[in-house]
Amino acid sequence: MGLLAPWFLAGLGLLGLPLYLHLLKRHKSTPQHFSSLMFFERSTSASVRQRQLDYLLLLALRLALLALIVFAFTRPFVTSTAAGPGGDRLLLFAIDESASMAFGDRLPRAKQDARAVLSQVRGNTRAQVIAFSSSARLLNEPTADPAILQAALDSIAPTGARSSLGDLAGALRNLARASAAPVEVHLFSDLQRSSMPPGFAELRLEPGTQLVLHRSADKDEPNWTVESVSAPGRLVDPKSARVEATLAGHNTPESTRFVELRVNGRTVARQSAVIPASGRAVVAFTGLDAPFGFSRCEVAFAEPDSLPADDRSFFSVQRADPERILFLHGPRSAASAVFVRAALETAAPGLFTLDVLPAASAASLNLDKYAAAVLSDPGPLPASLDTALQRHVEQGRGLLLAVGPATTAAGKAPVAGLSIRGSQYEARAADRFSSLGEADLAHPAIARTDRWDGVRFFQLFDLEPGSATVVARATTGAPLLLEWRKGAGRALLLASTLDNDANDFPLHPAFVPFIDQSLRWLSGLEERAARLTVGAALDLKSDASSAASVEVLDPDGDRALSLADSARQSTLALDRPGFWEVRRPGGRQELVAVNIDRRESDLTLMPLDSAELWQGAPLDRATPAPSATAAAEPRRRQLWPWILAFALLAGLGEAFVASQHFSREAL
Amino acid sequence: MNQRFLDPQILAGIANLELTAKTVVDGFISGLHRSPDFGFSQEFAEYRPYVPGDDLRYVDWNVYARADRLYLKRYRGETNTRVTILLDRSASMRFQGRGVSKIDYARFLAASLAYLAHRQRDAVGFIGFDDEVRDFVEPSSRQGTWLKVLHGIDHAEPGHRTDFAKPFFLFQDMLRRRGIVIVLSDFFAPPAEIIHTVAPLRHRGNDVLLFHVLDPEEIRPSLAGPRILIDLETGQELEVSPEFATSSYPARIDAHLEAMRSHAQGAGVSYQLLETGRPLDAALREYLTIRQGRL
Repeated sequence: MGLLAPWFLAGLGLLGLPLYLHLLKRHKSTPQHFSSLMFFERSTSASVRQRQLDYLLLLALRLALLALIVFAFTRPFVTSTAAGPGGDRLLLFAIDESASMAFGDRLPRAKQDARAVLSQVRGNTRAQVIAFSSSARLLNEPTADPAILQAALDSIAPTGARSSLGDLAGALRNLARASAAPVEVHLFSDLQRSSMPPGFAELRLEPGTQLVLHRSADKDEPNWTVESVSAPGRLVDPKSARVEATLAGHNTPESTRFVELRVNGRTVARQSAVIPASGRAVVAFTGLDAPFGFSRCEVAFAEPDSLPADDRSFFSVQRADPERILFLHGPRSAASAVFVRAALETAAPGLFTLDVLPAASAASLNLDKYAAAVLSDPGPLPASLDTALQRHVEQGRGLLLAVGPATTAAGKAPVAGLSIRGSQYEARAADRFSSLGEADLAHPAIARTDRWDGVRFFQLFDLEPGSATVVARATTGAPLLLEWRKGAGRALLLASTLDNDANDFPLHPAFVPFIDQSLRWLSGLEERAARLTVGAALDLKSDASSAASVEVLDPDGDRALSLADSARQSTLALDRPGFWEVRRPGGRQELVAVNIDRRESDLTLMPLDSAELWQGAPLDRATPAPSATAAAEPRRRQLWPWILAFALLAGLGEAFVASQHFSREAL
Repeated sequence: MNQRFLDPQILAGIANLELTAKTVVDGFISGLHRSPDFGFSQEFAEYRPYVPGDDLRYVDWNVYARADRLYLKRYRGETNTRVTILLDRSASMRFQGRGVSKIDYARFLAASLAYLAHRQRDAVGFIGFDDEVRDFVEPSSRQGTWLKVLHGIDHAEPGHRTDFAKPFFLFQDMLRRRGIVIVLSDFFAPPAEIIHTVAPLRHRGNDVLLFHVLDPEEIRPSLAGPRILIDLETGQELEVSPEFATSSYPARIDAHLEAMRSHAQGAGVSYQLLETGRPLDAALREYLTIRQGRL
């Protein structure tokens, strides 16, 4: 028998408290005058004896209650010996398959240790193999068949995901709760420090679960990695494109490393970088000679180290012509095109081409070549153009509509059909204006616009939201920016103009990111993340109600989804690093670059005391020999639940005796 | 309504003892039904043969003329007697349970009895005693004496311990003429000793009434836990358990009361137990019964 927290024994000093109180609270008889004592005689023995018995019993119960509580805090346990691993318990073999297990011989060593333990299991003991990284996978049902268990062990290979001991502990707790038999977990891992959860409490296991750690790494190994790459996702001008890569070293000395920029497997540039000891360095490549369409690019060390998976960082680039934007203006808003063009050329030079036309002359225009349209106070549109723009939006394109006096005169916003009730006009003198009030700052159109700081709106046009969503309101409470959706497309409606007639918005810096972000969002350029890490989920459907299928090709070029899954699944877990091709409805394609989680690159091991605390026993630096686990192994049995139960009984007894004692005294 | 004025708790609120006595007696009298035994008029009562020594003023000479025999004509209410009230004012009479104290109850009763006697034109006297005779008012039917009696009762404050033998020895000198002797006390003494002390008064032709005044708490004490009891007269301390107070003590006090009753009966002394929580009419009825016997 032992104590896990013997320092709590200091709490036994509390036993002096009831002793002190009982000594202080000695009973005193109350004097009382009586006419004559001739019929009385001294008769205190019976009552005093009863009271003293109650008194001593009460004192004993109180002392026992305090002592039991203190004893429970010391976490006492008794050790018993088991016949060997297993017995009547369920054996769980948890094998780390994270990216770091590809370093050196870590995974083979883990499998070898697991096989050694497995060979000691008795014939009738059931076991289960779990492969874990960022999540835990059960590889077999509980079985006593060694062949199934060996096959499960053999099937484990390193993935690019990071290991999470917190998630593993959660899975083990669930398994222990579901299991009728006690659970014995053998964990085979390199036990990286980065695998630990933020709070140690997340590593707790169910009472009765025995954990045996088998460490597959002996020391903190050095490792270099291409930590991150910054590159444009859409390439318009290859010569001016700039690619920056951050190189990092963990537990490494200062060294010079060569890195290469590769496009579709071809090395296009090579540079050297001096990486400080356990530090970082940045290399930059100017010019990215990529063909039209999607290109598979990577920045990689010329000479890989012992963990090659993190020596390269993938990224995809799409080289394309500028997106064409249709700009239609009304008779009095032609000047707004100047402001919008200037904003686009400032924020995203070459990314967009603006075709400016009067709205009245665009009745028979073919809209298919435009990714989005901007209507700057167009006034009433020709019916055919209005219908064409509605269909254009419905097919997944975007529309930015700025409402002005000409549109207000028509009484209805074109395309969206929202009614306009009139305008609120503020004189320009004496700060009589409104500005941005309540706003959804997470919306892509205004997320990076610094709340339109200093922008003044002198005239707002009162849009009836109807089916549209209000993204931002003016300080007067009137809707200022609305989002309207139809089909796969969407539109933004601004309740003011894009020139400086009704506001001074185009004269402020916030106008530039607003136009840039709005048109990127409306034309779908900012919709998908082009770079993810292993274990992340790929969003397959932007519209949950859509039944259209999405085709996904894994890094090997194979279909990642069956036909049924491609129509049914809304997400896909990316389990390998590399380039994943996504073909969405409407002919849209994406090339998603998936890299391993860079937290796996830090091969610093979990502190030994943390590992021992988790295991509840000293951890041998060397992997425990199979014979050690096969021998009679002491098992700890926690006693505190029983002690707390006795403390509860003592508390109930104290309450009962105390009530009897005091009720007798109150008579 | 009249009964309400016999309640000791209500009487305790009346500051004037004479008013208290009048309230009690008037309320008591008005509650009685008309009875020839308790009238106060000069009605004819009876004839009785003349015996030597009788006052010749009461001889009915008309009857003598017709029958040649001497008869005395008696009327109700014309017979006066001497009523002496003995009030125990020892320290034990200070005891007070939940109602009025024993001394207050005894004073109310003494004043009421005195007023009742005074109203019947009886001579009323008063003796207050503990271990000595503290107050003495010679019985008389004069108005001045009645006021002295009231003053003596009103100022009868509990003093020292009780000793029946010494004051009663003095009474025998003071009570030379026959009458009614009323003793108000808690009688915390051996019954045989009390009756032995009182009995000579009876032998001298007095009608003796013992009113045993006790608080209900003295008959059935209820102790809230072990208590140290302090004797009001001696100051003696005794730790007593509630179990004793509820088991042994009632038997002892009951035996004492029964002994008092039986010894009094044996000695021809009237005895009445009065609990301070009960109205005063029982004592008044007892007195009137005795008074009737002396007509």
